[in-house]
Amino acid sequence: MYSLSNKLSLHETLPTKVSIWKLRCNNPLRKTFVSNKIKHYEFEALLKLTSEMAKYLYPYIRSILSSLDNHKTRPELWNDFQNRLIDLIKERFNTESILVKKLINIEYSKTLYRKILLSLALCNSEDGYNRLKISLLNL
Amino acid sequence: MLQNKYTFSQTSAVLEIVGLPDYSKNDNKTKISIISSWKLSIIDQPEIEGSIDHLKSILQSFYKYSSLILLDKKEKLESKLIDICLGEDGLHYLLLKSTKPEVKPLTLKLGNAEFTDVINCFDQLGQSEDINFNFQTILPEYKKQNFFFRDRNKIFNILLPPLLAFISISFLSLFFNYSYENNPKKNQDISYIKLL
Repeated sequence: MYSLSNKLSLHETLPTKVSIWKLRCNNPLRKTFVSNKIKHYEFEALLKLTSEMAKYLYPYIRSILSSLDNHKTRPELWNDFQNRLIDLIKERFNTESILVKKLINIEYSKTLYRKILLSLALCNSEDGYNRLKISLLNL
Repeated sequence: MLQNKYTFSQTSAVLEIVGLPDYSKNDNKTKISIISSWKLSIIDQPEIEGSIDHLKSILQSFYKYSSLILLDKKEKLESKLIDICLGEDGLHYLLLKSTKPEVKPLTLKLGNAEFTDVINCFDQLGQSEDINFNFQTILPEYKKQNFFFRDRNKIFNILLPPLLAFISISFLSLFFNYSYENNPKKNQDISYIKLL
């Protein structure tokens, strides 16, 4: 993520790995939640990073979505993704919170997992970055 | 006159644009400013083609629909030439309506992977420097909120409850004060000892 931020010339906004980590800690569901007010340029930098990462990972994202579409015949990739996502959430998020408990419940959150992947797949270009930004500002 | 042809592909989808340069705008001969035909091919689906108006309508609907997905809104999108909706099975259902009365509407079922491939092809078209296509009229309109406006909303939400409480207390005080002033017994001596 840090090397990508340098590639995108975001070193002024995100000068170190710690600065990226601090921004990520603004998520109230994290174990290490710190309430800092995100500034507009930091918000844009995070979106640019997300969009660029989605571009690199698009072949994988697409394969997982394809596995979801054909879940009866090829469920392996989607199931692996679900399990890995839940493991990551358990590792990094505050599992005492009711929201996180709901998040790791596959039956309850399957639609959300699908939405996360679909959102990433739709923001993997310059137009996609704008789409994601405008959508987030209009939530 | 030789026509130019450009293709934009993404895994399961290929968008082909054919057209001519507009020499009155000093275009170079490899550019396309006048689109004469287009064709969208998706694996396991029939080919979609049409005029520039069809392309505009499809682009508009796809972009609006993808924004609705990002906003987590499950609405059916209807237009003159294309309807899109999300099915119960999580797939995307397209109904393509022809302008020719004798041609029956065509229903397509796109998976999430194919849908994102098509959007990626359209994004490539938007970013292409070889094709002059006005995307500003295509992109969905939003009530643009900026970051600061969101903060102002937050401030408004914080201030609203105490403001309402203050107004209701003032109103009740004025009401009781008015009732007391108009009460004829207000100047009478009320002695609790007498009452006892």
